[in-house]
Amino acid sequence: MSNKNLPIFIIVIVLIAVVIAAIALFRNPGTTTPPPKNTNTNSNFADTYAKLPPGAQPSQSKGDPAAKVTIEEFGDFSCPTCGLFHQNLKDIEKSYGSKVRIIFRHFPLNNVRGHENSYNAARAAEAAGRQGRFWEMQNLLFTNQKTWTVMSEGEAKKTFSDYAKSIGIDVANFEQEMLGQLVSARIADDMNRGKAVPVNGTPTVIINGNRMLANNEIANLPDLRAVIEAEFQKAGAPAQSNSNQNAQ
Amino acid sequence: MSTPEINNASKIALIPLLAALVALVGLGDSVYLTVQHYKNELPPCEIVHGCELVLTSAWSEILGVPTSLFGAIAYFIAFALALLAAFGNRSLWTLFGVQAVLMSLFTLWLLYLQGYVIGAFCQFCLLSAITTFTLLILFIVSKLFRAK
Repeated sequence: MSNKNLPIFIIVIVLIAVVIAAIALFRNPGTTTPPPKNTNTNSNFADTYAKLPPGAQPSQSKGDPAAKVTIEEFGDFSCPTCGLFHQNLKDIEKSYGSKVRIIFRHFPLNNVRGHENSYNAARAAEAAGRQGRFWEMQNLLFTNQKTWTVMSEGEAKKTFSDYAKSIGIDVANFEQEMLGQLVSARIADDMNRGKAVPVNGTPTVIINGNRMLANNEIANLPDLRAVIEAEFQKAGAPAQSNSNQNAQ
Repeated sequence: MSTPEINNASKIALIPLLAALVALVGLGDSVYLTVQHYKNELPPCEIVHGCELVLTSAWSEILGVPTSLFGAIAYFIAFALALLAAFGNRSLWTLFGVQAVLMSLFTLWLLYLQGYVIGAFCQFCLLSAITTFTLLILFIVSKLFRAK
């Protein structure tokens, strides 16, 4: 009877199907791209955006204030996707330099389990900012997020002080600032702006005040590049390629 | 149909068949997680849950291999054993039982990590826990059924 061979036949079919499905899933760029749920149509969003509370002033930003492309991120230092986006932004910075302006806003999800150190991390970044080292600390926090995210509150704070030391900050002053009103007020201001967007998860990334980026545009570097290029095109200033022509 | 042994086997074959289907669900789940792992695509951190913390934790990989890939292989083996058992191979059903016990122990460890070490649960991992325990329960039920 073929009864003996049938299961083996089915097993082989399933194995082949799994491999094909896995390859298809891997190649499909749109797997995590449900149409962005909060992406209102441009005009609607631009209206909302214009009316948002200002957030911390001055904002933590880098790049040319008159840049044609501005990326505003609401982030949480414990959030792995924010960590991934941070690495992508580093690449963007490498390619475009100050032509892309980057604004970082705090949106620590402290109530989410596993994000218990988020708020203190935000305070650490702002405290470093008081000594002009916000971006250095921001980079350290994101790069090492796996290390301090799982620590106890005390251990994490100690680690933040070590980071401060490593970027040449006055540690005593840093520790004092971390607990200060100035720092917590700035975070609260950013969060108020975020809540009005409204931010439902991190990172929430707004490009040129027009729309929020979709998940794939945050996580996939090529997609992010495409968005930025498109914004430069819209502004009539093709970015990378033109910089060479201008130089000629 | 000639020997009573085969008769007996075809009677219980329903449970191994069911186990094979459950293993397929687990297989799909872990293959999905494995692909997402290699794609380096993460869901955003939502205000309500922290799946991404689990999927990027130190335990998402074992010796550089994604934990979900081990899961996929384990489910595939479980599926193959259950299917062969469903078609009458009794000894493989016992082997399936061993596999189900091992997978359940591994799952308990993963649940412990999520609950007590990482401090967050991932719905995809919980689905896998459910399918693994279902495999074990099906095996136990089949043994009880046979004991009667």
